[in-house]
Amino acid sequence: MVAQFEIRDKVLEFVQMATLSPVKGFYPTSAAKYVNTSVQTVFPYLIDLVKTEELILVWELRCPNFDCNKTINDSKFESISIDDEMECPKCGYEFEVSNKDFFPRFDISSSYKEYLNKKDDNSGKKKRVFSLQT
Amino acid sequence: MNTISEIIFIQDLMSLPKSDLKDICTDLNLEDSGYKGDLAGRIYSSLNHSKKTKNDVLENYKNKIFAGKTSLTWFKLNNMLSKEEFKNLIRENHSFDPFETTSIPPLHEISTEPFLIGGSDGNNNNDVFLRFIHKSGVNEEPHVTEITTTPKTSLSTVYYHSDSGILELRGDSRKGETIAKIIARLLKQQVSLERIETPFYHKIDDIANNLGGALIDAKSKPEMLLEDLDEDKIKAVANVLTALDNYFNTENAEELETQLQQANNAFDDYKFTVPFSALILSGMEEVGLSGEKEIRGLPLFDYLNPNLQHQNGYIRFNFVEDGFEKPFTIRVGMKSQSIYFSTRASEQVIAYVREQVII
Repeated sequence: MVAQFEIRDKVLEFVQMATLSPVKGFYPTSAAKYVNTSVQTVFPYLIDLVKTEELILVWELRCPNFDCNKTINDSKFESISIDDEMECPKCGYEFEVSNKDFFPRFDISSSYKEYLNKKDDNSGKKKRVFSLQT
Repeated sequence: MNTISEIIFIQDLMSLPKSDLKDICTDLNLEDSGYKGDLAGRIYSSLNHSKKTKNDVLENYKNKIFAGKTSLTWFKLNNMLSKEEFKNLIRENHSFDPFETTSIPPLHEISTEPFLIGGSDGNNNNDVFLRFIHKSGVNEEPHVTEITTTPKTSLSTVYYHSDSGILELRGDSRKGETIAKIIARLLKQQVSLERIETPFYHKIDDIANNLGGALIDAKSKPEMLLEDLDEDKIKAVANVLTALDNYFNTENAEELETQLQQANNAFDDYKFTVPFSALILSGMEEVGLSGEKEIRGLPLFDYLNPNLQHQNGYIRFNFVEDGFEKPFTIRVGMKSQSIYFSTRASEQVIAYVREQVII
């Protein structure tokens, strides 16, 4: 059992490395992989970072057709509600939107990218690679 | 008391392979030629004359008639109910005793809300089957100046296993949630039903391992979305791969080294970067890897896998049924939290999946 503070630190470490890299967004599973724990464990800490505006929580609507699974839209662009009728622009599958069709993604806010890059500018360290492989 | 045979309807007969329908026809001294629909209709009207014949004839098929090619989702009761408690609550709260008789509403009264039409004891002494009907769509038949519409109905099966308190929903997985709510209502909310999600939070590998099976196909999304990379960066990444091919041809490491350097330099304005295996996924929304046999252990799968989030996949496993080892293929939806049998299943093999993956 890893201590809560350690999980919080690892989540923050992951988010900071992602911010300083070419990553613009990630799924909660990647943070869970990095911290080496479950999605349920890391999720509250990611939500904390949404509150302090490092991250933006985006809900992706995905086509429920098993063989398609395309990301149709995300909540940034258009408001979609449960039971709305939708047609997948890729496979043409028609469906009524259910809460099961939404999936969370975290985008890194541009202001945080700017802030952290500026803050980190003087360190002059060599570029490093961070990997999800545990 | 209803037996399993009494809650078998034409749609269920239609789900049997044609060879089985032909056998049933022969058993019943019926003509065994024609389309599947002809055979099923002929059998059903013949069986409805005699309860005894129906039981005798369908006895051999009760093990697979509600299984077949079906999609499965699972719920757990927070309070264990014995088989009798489960049945009694349903008896009390439904408009008729579904274990004593079956009642199919007239076609125009069937709505998209599933309705319980009958139930019976299962094949063992700790299980129950319930059958639901719902309107699943309409057939439109245009005819010169008018359109005739006929409702389409679907049957779903609910299987309750009292030892484990698990409710298994077979049929349209999008209706699963609704049926679960109806059952919770029938059980007078004395129990709450919770969807079993845990096995699908983990890697698809775990499900394959638990079944002793092979992962033969996996569709995944990259774990991380990269910024839109400019042309130079994309080229730099692609050039590394080309240089790798050239190296095997020329054995001259110089070009490879130059390309590696350039790819590395292309990301110099970042403090951190992601592994090369994540960079080459740039811009991909989905990656599908499929093989004839087990794909875990193959170079491309193992290389990309750390950066991928599995969405769904196919698992093939062997299971001994009636003394024969048979291969089965299931489609696992990590997101829909359901399992679909692409090979015709029997009650035994469904029980195996339930025991290995769900419980």
